[in-house]
Amino acid sequence: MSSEEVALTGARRYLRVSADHEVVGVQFLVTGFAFLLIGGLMALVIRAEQALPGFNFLGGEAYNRLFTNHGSIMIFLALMPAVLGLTHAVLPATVGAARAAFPKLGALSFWLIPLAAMLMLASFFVGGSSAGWTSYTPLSVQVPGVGQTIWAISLFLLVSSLALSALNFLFTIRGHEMEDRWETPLFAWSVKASSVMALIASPVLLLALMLLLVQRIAGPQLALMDSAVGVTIWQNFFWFFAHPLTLILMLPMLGVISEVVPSYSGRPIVAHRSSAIAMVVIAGLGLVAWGQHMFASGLIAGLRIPFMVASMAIAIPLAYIVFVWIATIWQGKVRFETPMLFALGFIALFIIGGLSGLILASVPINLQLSSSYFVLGHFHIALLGGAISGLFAGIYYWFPRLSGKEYDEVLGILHALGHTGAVFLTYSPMFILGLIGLRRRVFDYPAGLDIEIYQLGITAGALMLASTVMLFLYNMFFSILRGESVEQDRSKAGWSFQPMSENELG
Amino acid sequence: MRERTILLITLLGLGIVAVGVAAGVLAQPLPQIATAEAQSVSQALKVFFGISAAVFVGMEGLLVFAAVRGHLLGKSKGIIGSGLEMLWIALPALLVAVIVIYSVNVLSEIETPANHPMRVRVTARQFEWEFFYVDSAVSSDTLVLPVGRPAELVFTSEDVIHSFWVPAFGEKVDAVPGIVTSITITPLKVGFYQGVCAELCGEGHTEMQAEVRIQELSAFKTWLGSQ
Repeated sequence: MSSEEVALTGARRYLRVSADHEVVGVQFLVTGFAFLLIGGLMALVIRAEQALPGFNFLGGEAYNRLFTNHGSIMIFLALMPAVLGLTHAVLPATVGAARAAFPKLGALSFWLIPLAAMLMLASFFVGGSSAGWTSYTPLSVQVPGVGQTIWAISLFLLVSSLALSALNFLFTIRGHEMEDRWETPLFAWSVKASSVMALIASPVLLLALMLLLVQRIAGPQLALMDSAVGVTIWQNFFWFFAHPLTLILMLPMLGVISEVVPSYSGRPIVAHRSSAIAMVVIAGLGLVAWGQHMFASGLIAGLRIPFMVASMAIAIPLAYIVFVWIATIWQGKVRFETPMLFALGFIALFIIGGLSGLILASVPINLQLSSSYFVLGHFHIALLGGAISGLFAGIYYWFPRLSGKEYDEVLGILHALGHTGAVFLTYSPMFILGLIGLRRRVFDYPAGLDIEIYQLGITAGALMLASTVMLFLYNMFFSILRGESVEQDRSKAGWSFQPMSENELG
Repeated sequence: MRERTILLITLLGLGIVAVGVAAGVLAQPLPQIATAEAQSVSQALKVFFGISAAVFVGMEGLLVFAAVRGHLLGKSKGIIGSGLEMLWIALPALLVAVIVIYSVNVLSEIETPANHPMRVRVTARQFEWEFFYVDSAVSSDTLVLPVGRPAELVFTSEDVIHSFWVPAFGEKVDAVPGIVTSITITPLKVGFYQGVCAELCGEGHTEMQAEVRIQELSAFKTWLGSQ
């Protein structure tokens, strides 16, 4: 058999139920990227409508459905499975485990995703969900048709999948920690912090989704989620899960960067133990900052200041980790290869995402800028510049070990530079649009605001971002099919960064 | 020598970019300011963007410098001392404390109850706003306010959650069914403004807008009489 035939035969096992953690990981990753394409196409349609003021071709209910599904798909079917996938694939090896703690649980966690995905796509054809990914009641109670109900069931499965994976990760790490547990690799620490958050936060959203489902199925005679009490319950329960969610997805990527930066700086990270502690602090603060999303809601008046303090305090451990990375780079011999360029892009964009988040967490500023383009800019930079950059860094970093093949370095470098530039170009103009007063989730904006240049920048950036994803998929696909095989010793090298002796560093 | 050159180029490049952006945004973060509250918020934005710009240049500068230096020159001696590490924690903590204290002050400033405000009951429903002037029992779909006199806007919703946002007012508040919310504003500048719904409320959300006018007291009285 030629190497291409071998690759294709090997591909078949990814279509079956498998308990192998690497197979499960790749299944998650491929599913995530498939939905990244679908969610990305939706984003391009949104951009086409937004390119000019006024109604162009999409408005009202259709537009609401489009961004509701864009958000739900990107978060729960693209980003979440991709982050879980990378973790499934590499976590056991990074802590020196032969397999995951609960291989079958891993498989179950994955197979919930295609089921939920089919439900979410099907909901499109039976009314569709249109209350936003936040699905605030009473609007989400009021939306007619089965679509919104199916959306809630789909979300229920997806959040369950997250919890099952988290459970698996925690037990995989357990028993493989270093004697001094703070010396355990930082990737494992980041996954541990993320998984604990996921296990605490998920049940609360599952409960809220159950209440929403009961309300939707029982009908209007049941005054539950559409009452003032229901409104308070939904917003608190939803954000109790959704505020941590961004950190649940982000933390493992902080772990990835903490592996990549020392590897390509040729030295151990400068403050291993305190970086691990910082990750734990981030998880703790992330769990008590959910009210940050409700400053203008009138529901938590007296709690706004404590929530503001908790939200802003996260900046301290986050800034600390950034400084640790910079200090590690400073003291190292830096190699500009693909994973490192993604890591540098991650840090550069992460600083912007962090600073804009700090500003948004201020109550008086939030009363003005919440629900505006400023918020869009903030969380897109945080998720694409942060989580997705970290994901790419990790995929390139572990690709040779996972696939046994080398990727094309030139395409990889192009992807890293293109991705970082495109994210900045696409999302930084949104800060200005938010200050000007543009609200999110509307298909129209007033004409004559002199904002054409910003809109053009966003559209150009979005197209650039789409083409860099194509570059990535091309690189991965043809490297697996025809790439050079990895030299023996490289594939055996540690999966987690091992400090090398001075000689090896050269 | 080479080290200094890299540092200089890095800082110079980032400095130019930051000065350009900061000058643009700091000059006038909010394009329209119609109330005393918007003035406070705009002032806070200037302070926070100022701090952010400094942090941005400092951190991105360090990052680029460290990467370029580490690539060209190789390993350097340790810069990590316990003193520096403490600074990494103390400096962000200090900045957060400054932003928290400033925010609490601005919040109490914009939420101080006014003496004898003009009371307007605002009812939100899919997909329109109704403004009811309590003292004169007048109802309108346009919000007209006299300049200089504080107004208390009290919100309720008849169906789903809406959010009343006039960007030039410097704040927004949700209208929630079954709950009463309010904001107090002091109009400062005569003019025409746009009020919008800022919480997704269904099919007609985009079109849920209201005309907002701030007028001289005499013009306001004439308008109120004609309703």
